[in-house]
Amino acid sequence: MKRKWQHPSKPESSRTHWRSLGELEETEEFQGWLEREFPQGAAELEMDETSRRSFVKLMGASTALAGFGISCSRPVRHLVPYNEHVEWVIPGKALYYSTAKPRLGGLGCDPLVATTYEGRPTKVDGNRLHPAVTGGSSSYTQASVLDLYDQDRSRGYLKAGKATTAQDFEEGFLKPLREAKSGEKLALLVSDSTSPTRNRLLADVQKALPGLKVFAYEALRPEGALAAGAQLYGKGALPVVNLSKAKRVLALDSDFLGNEPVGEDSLAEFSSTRVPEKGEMSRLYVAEPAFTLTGGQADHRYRIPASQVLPVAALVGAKLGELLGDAELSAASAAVSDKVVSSVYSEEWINECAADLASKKGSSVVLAGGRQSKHVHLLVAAINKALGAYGPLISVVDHKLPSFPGIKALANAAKKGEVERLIVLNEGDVAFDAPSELGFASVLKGLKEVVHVGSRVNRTAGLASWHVPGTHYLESWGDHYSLSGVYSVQQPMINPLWGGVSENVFLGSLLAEGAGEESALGEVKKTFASIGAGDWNEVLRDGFLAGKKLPAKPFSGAVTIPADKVKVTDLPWEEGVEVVLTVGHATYDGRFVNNGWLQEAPDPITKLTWDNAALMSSSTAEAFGLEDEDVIEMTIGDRRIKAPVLRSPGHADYCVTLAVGYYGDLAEGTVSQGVGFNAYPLMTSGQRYIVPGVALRKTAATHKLALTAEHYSMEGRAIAREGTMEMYEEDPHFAGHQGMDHHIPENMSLYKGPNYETAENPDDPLIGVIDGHEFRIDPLHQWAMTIDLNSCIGCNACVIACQSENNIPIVGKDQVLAGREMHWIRMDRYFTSPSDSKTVSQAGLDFDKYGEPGRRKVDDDAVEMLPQPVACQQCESAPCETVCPVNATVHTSDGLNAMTYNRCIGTRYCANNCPYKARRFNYYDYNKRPIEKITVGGVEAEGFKFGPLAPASGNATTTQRLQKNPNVTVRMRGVIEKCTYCVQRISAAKIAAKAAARDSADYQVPANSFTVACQDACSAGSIQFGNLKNPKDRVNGKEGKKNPRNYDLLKYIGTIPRTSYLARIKNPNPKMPGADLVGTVTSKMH
Amino acid sequence: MGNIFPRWTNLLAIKVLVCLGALGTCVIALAWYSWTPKYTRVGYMPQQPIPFDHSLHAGQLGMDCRYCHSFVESSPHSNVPTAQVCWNCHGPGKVKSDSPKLEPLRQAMDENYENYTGEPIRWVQLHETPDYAYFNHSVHVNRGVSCVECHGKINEMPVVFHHESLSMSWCLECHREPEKALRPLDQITNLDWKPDDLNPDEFYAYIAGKTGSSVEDLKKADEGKEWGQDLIGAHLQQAWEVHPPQDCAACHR
Repeated sequence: MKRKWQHPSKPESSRTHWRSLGELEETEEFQGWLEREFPQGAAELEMDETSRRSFVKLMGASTALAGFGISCSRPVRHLVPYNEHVEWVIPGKALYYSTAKPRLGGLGCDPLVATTYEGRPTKVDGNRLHPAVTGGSSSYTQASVLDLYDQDRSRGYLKAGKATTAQDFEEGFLKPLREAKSGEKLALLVSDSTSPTRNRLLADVQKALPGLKVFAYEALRPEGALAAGAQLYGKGALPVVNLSKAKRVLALDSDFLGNEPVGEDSLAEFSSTRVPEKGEMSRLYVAEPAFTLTGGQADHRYRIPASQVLPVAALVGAKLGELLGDAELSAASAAVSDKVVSSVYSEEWINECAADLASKKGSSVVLAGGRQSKHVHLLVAAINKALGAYGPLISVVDHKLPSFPGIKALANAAKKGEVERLIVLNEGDVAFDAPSELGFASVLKGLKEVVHVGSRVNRTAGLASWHVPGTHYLESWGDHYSLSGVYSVQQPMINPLWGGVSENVFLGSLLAEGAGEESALGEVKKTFASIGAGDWNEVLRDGFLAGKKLPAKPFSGAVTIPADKVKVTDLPWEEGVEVVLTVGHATYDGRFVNNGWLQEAPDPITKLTWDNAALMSSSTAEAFGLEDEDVIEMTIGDRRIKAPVLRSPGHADYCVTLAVGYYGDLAEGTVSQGVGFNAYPLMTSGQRYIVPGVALRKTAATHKLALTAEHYSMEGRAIAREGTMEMYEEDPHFAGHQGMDHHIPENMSLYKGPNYETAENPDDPLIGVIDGHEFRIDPLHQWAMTIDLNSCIGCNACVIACQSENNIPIVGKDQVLAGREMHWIRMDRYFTSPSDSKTVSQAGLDFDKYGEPGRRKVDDDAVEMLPQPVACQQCESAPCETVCPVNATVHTSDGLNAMTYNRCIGTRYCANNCPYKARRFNYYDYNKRPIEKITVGGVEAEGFKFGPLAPASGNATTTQRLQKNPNVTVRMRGVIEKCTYCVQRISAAKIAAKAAARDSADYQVPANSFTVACQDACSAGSIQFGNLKNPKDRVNGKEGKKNPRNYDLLKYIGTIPRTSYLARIKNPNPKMPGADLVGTVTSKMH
Repeated sequence: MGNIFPRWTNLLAIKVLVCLGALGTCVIALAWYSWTPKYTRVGYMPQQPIPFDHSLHAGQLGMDCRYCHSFVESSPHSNVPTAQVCWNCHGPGKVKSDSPKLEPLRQAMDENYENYTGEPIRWVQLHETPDYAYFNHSVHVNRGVSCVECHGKINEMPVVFHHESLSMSWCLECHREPEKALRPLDQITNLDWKPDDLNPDEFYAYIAGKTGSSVEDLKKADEGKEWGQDLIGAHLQQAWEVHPPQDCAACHR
């Protein structure tokens, strides 16, 4: 019988989805990616004549050399046990220790658990025991372990750039300073920190050296929020938002799900409110200039330039004041809204949003972003107060943080001669990231003596008279208060690799000679004793002090905004473009610039790797005659920067978003060299992150951007599914019959493979007998996974966790350009935009011709985002297995699609046959060869690239090798690799269960007793992994396979994937403009 | 014109071909044999920095394997003992503490010794699996596989040598027929254990207790079968549900 497909006639679909503008516009380049069997250059070696000659020469040499060095005798290897046994260490087994990492920006900390092998930390994850967090982590946290092994780390003391010794520094600087006991004309530049020991030591140092002045600087400090906080809550107190009870959230340019959490674990808290199975979902409104991870989750998104957030906040406030009858809020809002022409803004959006917020008074909250001004934060505080958010959602924790003058004061003091010597303890790179009008590099040059303490030999170190090697957080003792005030201990995992000195140790050495990690531990214990509760060993074991928190502070004061001080910025226009400086996804403020994992992880929104770009809307690009990759110059006054253009859907018009922290040509690191464009020259003390009135000019240059959005395209199929709350209430199983799934005929399979379903009966598990060969299906273990697209925000934490767990190499920019990135998890990000006849004709296009190349256009006002992580789906009937000529990829008895690297001969048939495009090929032995040797100087460099003939050893391999997970094979060149469901963790769990069973037959792995790396890293709790044969495993519960939103990818091809997805649910407000088209991209797809 | 080639050359081509063929066969046969782990590994007996005599310690003195290889039951690796473990007995004033054979130990441990370096002892690795094969000791010794199955009678070896090939096919042989290697858990480190050491009555009682069937039934079913490893192993495999994995992913990750 033939399978008959009942294709319904093509409906007028309401939305269309695409990963790149190239896909939407169906450009030739995109078609090229689609049609090639393998990414470009996979089969052919493109070289010019000279390089071919050198290739042959090198090839000959390497063949000749291969003859030597091979000998017949067995290589002698040694086993070197410890002399004396080290406590807890069992050779071959991982040890887990709790520790903590100061949060980026210094306010609060991330409680962590570090995995170590014989004293070597290889991975960090969130601490699930900690009361305030669920145990996920961010991509920065996941990647931070690589920084410990950075080959370019500072390896010793420098005096004016030349190597010197610690002794020399002690005698030349520290001793005279301590003996003088004055600290006259000496300044100390520190980062923000909630570490009680650091802050106490700092106070001690100030006491010991009375002349010492302390300044603090963070390049990405939320100045407006801190200033407003100081006014409202008093100095040193911080507001903490707990979103777990929020029903309505309005985020004003606040990426609270991504780079700027507003509470302890904002993502986890917010995700817990978005579970349709638990009843009504929360609703998220976002107003922002460029898509952020938060904007991608929004039910309603309003694109506005960052400078226009103030008027929008005021209009929301005014409406709310009217609805709630709150005079204080009305007065505060009027101070701004009186100066605003409200018709410029989408009044319908603002008013309906305000009405919705007011309707849930007591569980609504408004959040403002860190780059917004003090006035925005004051307004937001007034709104939150009127909404009754203080108490149920927002608490104020009295951290009693010391406050120090900023970098501007330091520069002024230096210019006036009040400071002649400076110690830089700051985490960043002040010669690079300080506001440009201060000319901080020349300030540093003008000082008599500058001491830089840090783990990077950065630009500040280059200008300093002394450089002291710093430590990584996994190398030093410390402590921190988490944002909500839980005392957490930072425990070192390893001695400083290069003899570095931590901040606490350095401050100690200003007080007394001979400070080291021992004395830092003493200081931490002293702080702990002063708290006066709990057992030190317990705190060390758990990582935090249970049952005691910093006190909360009630807030009830009046919020007033002086109308005369408020200035509303004009809307940006063609001759006065607004540039918004934002956090670098790969760099933060520049401190991660040499981290290859972060550089290569595609930006969650733009899918850009190894670069930053000037993001702008398509219409803005059109107005300036710009195309992607054109380099533009942005000028304001004498400040000038360059960056390549990248059109970004859903971006505000006449507004450019640019990430900071990229050094460009200033960088000297192996990884950071030549990466990105420096945006800091545009930043001044007055205009930190929002720079209006910038002149934009096209230059003749172009810059190649390595985007992964068009790689591994799923060709428009409905694999990422979504619906609305309304659709869900009508039929919770709606996702199961979207796309092809609603008209597929029943699958008939000629393949009589093992049937995993019938392996229930342990007496008869030998179902899968193929040609007389027994294939015993494990009746106790069958692994499976679900991924909830409703809570997944696409933040890349899982991508990097997977990289760190599975020894996945980075490949470098021009290998990414060739489509050879190795990430086992491909974080797809779809944009969706309306495509019904009304919307299309409103855009001035002909609906009948719609869909033809060049006939589509993005509707920036109604773009939505939908991320979807795709890794190997572990199909039960896997197409890759049947085509492997050497049986290198076969099924295991517990249902995994196993990949045996030592068998693989690299035909790549399997990758070709994988419908999910989940397999990766190692072209150049990336694990063995440092990327700068594979490609010399990136794509633009001329000359021969060594490629596979690059020398196999180099700096990169010596220290970074220490990070490798010993339980996972480090794959070589010419081998296909892919997600294995972390088979090393599965094996460890099964072996542990069997070893514990001893002579009993009960060896099933206990339910939920282990996790896989991506699941561990996910703060949103989107990933469930477990055993289908154990009903207690979460993967079998309501949050997993039993969820009505569960669906398989490409179900109709009959691969029976073990990974399934839960469809995303949007919760639109029917009264909002465009609400009928929200969340409907796959509802009519077929 | 006379014959250029004398008569004897008529068969030369055939003779040469036959010789070459024979030579080729020999080369292939030799290579085949000498490149298998059976040849390259079995019998490997490197000299250790300290000529530790297993036949004395584990044999004559009857020390348990786990006295030194202490983590074998809990770790993938069976650890080589720390110098401290040797020092427990061979420390100053104890057994043979000034034997010249213990020079590396004293260098590592004896702080008063003139040649003290503190450098750990570098033992030569004997049994080695490739980096992509992940063998786990703990699961084997906890589920009835004795040390002797892979390492031979170490308690009779003055100098330890590679006893089995440890090749993949050798591993799989046992994973396909685990009954050939299973023994009671209290006899794992008894390298001299024989099936005859086991009291059949006690054994049947044990199996009956594990499986829930009666001793009589078990004995009846086994009538006519020879008492030996196969019988004991088969009962243990059934009672403990031992199913050694044969998947690639069992060892290759």
